[in-house]
Amino acid sequence: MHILAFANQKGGCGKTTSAVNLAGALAARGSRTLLADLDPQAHATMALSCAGEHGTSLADVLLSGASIERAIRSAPGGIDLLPGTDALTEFEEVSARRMHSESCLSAALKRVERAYDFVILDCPPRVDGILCANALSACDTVILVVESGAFALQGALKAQRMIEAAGVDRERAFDIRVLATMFDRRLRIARDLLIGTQARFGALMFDAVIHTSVRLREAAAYGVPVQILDPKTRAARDFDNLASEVIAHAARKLEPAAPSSTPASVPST
Amino acid sequence: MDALALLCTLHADGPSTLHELRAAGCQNLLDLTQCTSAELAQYLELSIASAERLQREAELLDARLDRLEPEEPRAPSKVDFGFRISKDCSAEDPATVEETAEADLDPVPEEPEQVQEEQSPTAAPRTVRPLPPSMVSSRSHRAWFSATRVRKKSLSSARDHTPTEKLVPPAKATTEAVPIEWKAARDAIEKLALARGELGVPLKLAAERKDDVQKSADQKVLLKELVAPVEAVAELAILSAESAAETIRMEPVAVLGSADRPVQRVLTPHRELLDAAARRSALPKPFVHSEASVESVLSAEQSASAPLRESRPGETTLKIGELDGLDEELLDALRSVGICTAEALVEASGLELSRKIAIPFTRLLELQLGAQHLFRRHTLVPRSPATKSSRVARALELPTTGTSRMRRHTDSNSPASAPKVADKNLSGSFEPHPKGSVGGPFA
Repeated sequence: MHILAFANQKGGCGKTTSAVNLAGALAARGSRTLLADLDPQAHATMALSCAGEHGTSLADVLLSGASIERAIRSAPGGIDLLPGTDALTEFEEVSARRMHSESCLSAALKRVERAYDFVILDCPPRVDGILCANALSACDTVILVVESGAFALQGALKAQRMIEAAGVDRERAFDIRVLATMFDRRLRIARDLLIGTQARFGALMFDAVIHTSVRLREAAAYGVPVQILDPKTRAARDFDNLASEVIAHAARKLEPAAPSSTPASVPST
Repeated sequence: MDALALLCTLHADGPSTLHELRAAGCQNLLDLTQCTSAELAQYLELSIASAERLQREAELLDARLDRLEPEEPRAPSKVDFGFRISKDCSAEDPATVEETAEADLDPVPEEPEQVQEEQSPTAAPRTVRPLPPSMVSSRSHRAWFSATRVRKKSLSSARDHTPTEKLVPPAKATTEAVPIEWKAARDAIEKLALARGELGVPLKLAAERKDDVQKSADQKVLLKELVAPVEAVAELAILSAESAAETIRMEPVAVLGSADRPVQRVLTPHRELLDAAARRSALPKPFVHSEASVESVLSAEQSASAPLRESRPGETTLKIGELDGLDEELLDALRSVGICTAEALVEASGLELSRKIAIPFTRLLELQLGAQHLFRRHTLVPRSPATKSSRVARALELPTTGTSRMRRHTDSNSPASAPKVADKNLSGSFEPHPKGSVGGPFA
């Protein structure tokens, strides 16, 4: 099982959209995929038409140790969803009074380790919060989502520093990768920003770039991944390319770790 | 993401193109620029122009990334597309494509940008050459000064490797860097002209005859190459809007600007009137050389703008139908700026008046000529026994080309009781000769 956490300090950069549609792309390729919504806003849950449903949620799993198998539900596109609710804010409040509160998610996911190939964590826009700390503790790869905006690069650099600092605290080097989103090739400013981002992150960046697309917004409105709404659209191809890279990256990480049970951590640059 | 992947994202089809290039052994930007355009075009199923453009973008990106993070010199890898194309086919391909406008606002189909470029049938094979950093601007690869349209080259012709119809290349190669000072001067002039509203109103009137693209092309042609006085540029723009010709015919006529900055003019049937209007124009002709001077020129003009000449008693009142094209609407517009007589109309600054009442400049010039004839008829006086040549010369003279000529006429021909003609100043004041008196200005 390979766990990816979509993180960035900046809101609105495409974390949730990328998480949902990457999950859809991986599921479309036949991978067993679980999407965990760690954001109290629960937008990933909404994007998969699961908002407002009653039952066990991720907040219950983290707060009261509820069974993760009971919280998981089926979502469109062959994705399994660990839904989020606004009750996650309660976890942020009570976590200060608990020991090892940042390991709750990791412990819960270990129960379903053999059931999934990929687990995607949609983090809230707060890298220094306890929810993101849980995601960082559980994940194998952190994907920094960087949009083609004026302040996005600066925000991504800040988030990278915070993640690396968290790694130092945990005596662990996080595997950080960068994903460019909301790229509009028609705009010169977007091209320049992409060049600047590539110059800064270089080999950490995925080759796949998510282009801005109306279909992504429509898919979220319909509550399905873009692969369901329009599998031939440019956005679906972008996420398919991203899924290819993610699968290849996961395979490279697992190969050296085949003899041991824990995945290897790649030093970040 | 390496530089090759970045290039494919920016200027190709992203990872799919990247995979194809890597499958052929292309590992970096240098490898891409070393192969021939024809082979690259056939392998990627592009037109040769698109392939050349991709290679050109690879050079630019390589230079740009090298400035950001200098790399060690590297040897190119062996790229094998699995086939070979003779160099004759690539040399014969003229390859020109249509340039798309900078799409900052308008949505366009998802296809790569295409750029105008010049291709000679005997062009030498491309070699990698670094661009001078001082000359490279973000638009160095775009033909910004060419208004010529060329057809888009079809993909099928590239695949068939058949020589296509030779298209007209633009004046300059797109790979030639645009001098920064030209670009800055052109942008400054354009901004000033737009800020002053000189290019707005007359062009709106010609909207029915020309679409926005043609008007934009006209403006580009007018503004190209020269740092011209703004007023001259505005006049040219107005004339181009009124010109019925689909293409701008440029020929050097009279110097409208200063002596050391001649302006190429549009050929019009009103050349003489335009000359006269330029000489009597009340506004100064500032030299705009940088964006910083735009604001200073604007403020100086606003504070020194000359008032339109107003009517005086005894002048020939304008009436509907007295002049060709003088309808009620136009008459109301003239009266709104204080022009009610033929003399006032003739004396007014043509360009400024055309701006104020929003009528085409050439149309105004025709009106002024008609008004000149009108009050000449009204002030008909017996001719003096002057020579025929001098009479013809005086008859051809416009009334406002110089007060000194009028003064010479009145001083030499009029009796002592005739009123003196006031000096014509920059504001265009003019005192006509009383009706019926001997020795009028056109005696």
